[in-house]
Amino acid sequence: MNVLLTPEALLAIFTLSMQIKRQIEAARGGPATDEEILLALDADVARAQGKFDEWLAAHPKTSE
Amino acid sequence: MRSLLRKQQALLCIVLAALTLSACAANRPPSTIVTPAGQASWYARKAVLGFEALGDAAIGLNAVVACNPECKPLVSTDATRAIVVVSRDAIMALGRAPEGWRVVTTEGLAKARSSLDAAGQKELGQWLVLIEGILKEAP
Repeated sequence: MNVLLTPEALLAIFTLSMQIKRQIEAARGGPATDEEILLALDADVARAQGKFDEWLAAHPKTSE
Repeated sequence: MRSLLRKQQALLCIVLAALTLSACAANRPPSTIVTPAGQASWYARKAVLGFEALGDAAIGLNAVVACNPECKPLVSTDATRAIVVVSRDAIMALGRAPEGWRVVTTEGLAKARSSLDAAGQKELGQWLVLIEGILKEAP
């Protein structure tokens, strides 16, 4: 199967890959104490939840 | 044109392979995290980042339109919505009860797989493998 991607699409994929890489690196070099890990977990949960809630609000179901 | 296609496919393969390899490298909590609650939170945080990466990947691939020959997103908006909901719910559950991270992660993975059609599984399979890696490296 041949799929032709536009330069914008390739840029989007590259940007996405860099974003994920940063998240993985943050997880590796992250908090080193019990207190720090609890705070980091709370912060990550709040950030991700806010981001996904925002996307869901912008893309409501239209078939119902 | 064929050469350009091959280059683009190769670039995609390289990016996905590098991501998967880097994410699945063995990793344990540092020795300075000493309590069971802290160690559970360390694994829960890795799972949070894994589900966040899965949701981000779905959103990113939904924004990419490929023409072959008809033009459509690499991952449909319906499939993206399902993945985002599963990821968000798993992340919230991990935040509420980090000690249950293994059960939450396993259930979230199963829900993510069941919510994707064959095309979605193909595009997002690498990120599901990434989260499976977190389960495998834990004791």
